[in-house]
Amino acid sequence: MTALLQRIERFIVAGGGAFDGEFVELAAAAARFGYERVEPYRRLCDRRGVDIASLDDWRLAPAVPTSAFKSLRLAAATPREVFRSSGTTRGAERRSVHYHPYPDLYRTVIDASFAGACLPADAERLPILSLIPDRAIAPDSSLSFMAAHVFERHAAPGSAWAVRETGLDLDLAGRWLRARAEGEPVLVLATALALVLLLDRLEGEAGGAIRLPPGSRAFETGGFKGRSLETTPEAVRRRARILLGLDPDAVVREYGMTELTSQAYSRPGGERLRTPPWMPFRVLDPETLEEVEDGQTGLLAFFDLANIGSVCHVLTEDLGIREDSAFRLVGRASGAELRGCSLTTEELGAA
Amino acid sequence: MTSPTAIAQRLAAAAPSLRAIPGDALLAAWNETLGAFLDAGSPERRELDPDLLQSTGLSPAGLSHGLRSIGEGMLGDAAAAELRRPRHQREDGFSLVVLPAEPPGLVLQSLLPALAARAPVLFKSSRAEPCFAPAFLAALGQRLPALRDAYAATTWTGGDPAIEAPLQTSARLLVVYGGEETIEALQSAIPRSRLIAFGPRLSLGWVGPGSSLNQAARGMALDIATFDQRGCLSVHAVFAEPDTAPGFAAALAEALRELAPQLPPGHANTTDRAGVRLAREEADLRGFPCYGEALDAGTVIVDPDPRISPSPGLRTVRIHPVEGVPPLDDWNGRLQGIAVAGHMPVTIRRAFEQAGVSRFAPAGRLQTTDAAWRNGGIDLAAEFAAGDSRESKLQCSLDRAHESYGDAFRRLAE
Repeated sequence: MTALLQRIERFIVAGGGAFDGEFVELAAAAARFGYERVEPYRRLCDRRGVDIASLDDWRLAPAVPTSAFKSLRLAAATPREVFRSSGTTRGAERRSVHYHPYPDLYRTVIDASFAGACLPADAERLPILSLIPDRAIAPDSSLSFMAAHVFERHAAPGSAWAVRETGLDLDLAGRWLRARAEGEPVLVLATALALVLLLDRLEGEAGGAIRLPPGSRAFETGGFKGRSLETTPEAVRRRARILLGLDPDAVVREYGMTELTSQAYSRPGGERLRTPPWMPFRVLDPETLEEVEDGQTGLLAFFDLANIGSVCHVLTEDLGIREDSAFRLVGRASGAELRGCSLTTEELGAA
Repeated sequence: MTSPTAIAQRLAAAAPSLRAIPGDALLAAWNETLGAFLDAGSPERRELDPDLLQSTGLSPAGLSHGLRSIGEGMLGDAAAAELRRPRHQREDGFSLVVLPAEPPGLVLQSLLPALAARAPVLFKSSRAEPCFAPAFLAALGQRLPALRDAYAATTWTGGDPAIEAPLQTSARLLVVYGGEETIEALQSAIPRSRLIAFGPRLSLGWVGPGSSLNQAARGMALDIATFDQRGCLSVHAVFAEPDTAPGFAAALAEALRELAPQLPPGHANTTDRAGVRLAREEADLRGFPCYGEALDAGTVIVDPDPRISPSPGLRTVRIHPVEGVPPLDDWNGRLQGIAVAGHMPVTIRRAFEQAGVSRFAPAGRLQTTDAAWRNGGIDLAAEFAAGDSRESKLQCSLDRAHESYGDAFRRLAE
């Protein structure tokens, strides 16, 4: 095992490559590893008659739906971190649990992909404001794990966490940003909703707009929970330009989830998300689970080599469209939400 | 186009003229109009159906069956019993009812009580299904023109404070079908005495001892397929005894297959098909028995975990083998009805009632409601009539408590 883990780490550190050659070999070895160590996965492969020993195409390894992380322990080794999803609706929804045996591999992934996607060129360390909770507040959040590692690697003195036990500290965030309106570029880490709330606050303040130094960036991830009717990524970029002085290219959107170790990032100014060279994706027809044509909608599946500690091939609940070797998110499969006799496409606001 | 606020002002003044309408005239207009809307061959339906089929995605047979299941129990004597209730709205003023996008025809369940209370109402139709309510009110107004000044349906994009703030402030009563976040926001903004909120809910099936599996399966299939599982009385999951669960699952899959030609599924979008695919993939991973062919033709999964979860739709249902009371804690206030086959012990029934279930019906009849059904135990006619005086609210609460104790004593006596 150590040898396979080391090979995967080296592959990631080297920046991966095309999804052939060494990747194919590593993917087959990773699928075999999961088959040997993850009991539910072995049973699935056996039931489907997949001969994992002679697998030469990662696409043929059965993909595990992310919902399985809510009910099954999918761990290939003793976990050293346990990540739980935050849940998107209240009450009865079960949360995904990712038992992660290889947090160092997670850190390797962040080192290999975050800086290139999110930091200004030549910036090793810079002032960071995080609207993502730190690990003391959210010890089981994979996003907080990531933010903590980004802080460790890239935060300059004066960086700050603007989340308290009670929620976002927008006063602190506002003061921090205003104090850095002139000087070196800064980085703002935020969930999409936190960024919207920050922009709302700045908009509501007299003279609220700030001009962050050129080269500054904002990282945002996740959905606009509860604000999806009035908020789009384009609208956020537009408001970030007005209220923070950030170019549209400076707002980077991340796509990640508790069940995956690697992340996809948006291209400058656009909606398309690109996966790193160790995590190919496919867009699958729900009826057949065959790949759809470019431009058609289907379920997103990822083969994440860095997920070797659980299962690498994951079928998500997200719907996407492949465009130019990247993907665009267009929705989510039904199932998680309760909707009987309620409004489905619009809501009445509480004035 | 007249603004919703202007419409509401017109409606607000109509209460006295509403009270002057003789009950028999009201009943005749209601029965004639509803009868026409339940007849797929009527001129009203021939005009409405193309738009309604487009907006709902239901099959023609599915639409007709669904409307009959909501409306047939509101005709004749059942309607008469409601419309002859003595308590009427005494003051001027209007109420606002915000309708859900689906299922179609749900306006009937608030319109009949409003007529019974002689309470003027502005209905906000969903933009996703803006057809049924205005068409029904127009047809009702043709038969009884005095109603035109008292009832109107319109639509606007939800969340516009310029439209909604004045309506929310001036309405005597708001009846809202909404998502959980909307309901919570409204509850914090509007006094409870003026707000009745119906959040999203689902329904379940119960297969107890003494039931014929095939008969139970045929009934349950109908409760699943009606409105393509999009209503709050649609069955999402079924509890069955451990011994019978596997056999019932196979029988239900067969019953869904047999029902499909008679009640074809409507349009299936990628979102729903993806949800069903994921449910089947998870079942396969976990080694659960799973029945189903095409994704939109129905899926039956035997899930040994007794905790329920919402169905992704397209007639997908999980069968949970249980002994005793199923775990319902996560579902308090989110359960609507139970389709019952065989015997249901009192302890089980009480557990469902405590979780908020307001309707128990034999399998196959769950979605066939009648005029006397009180969604969530709420007597809408009394609420429309009561206004916002604390005294009448208190009386309503006392009446409800009295009814609930009465039910409890009756069950104990049984």
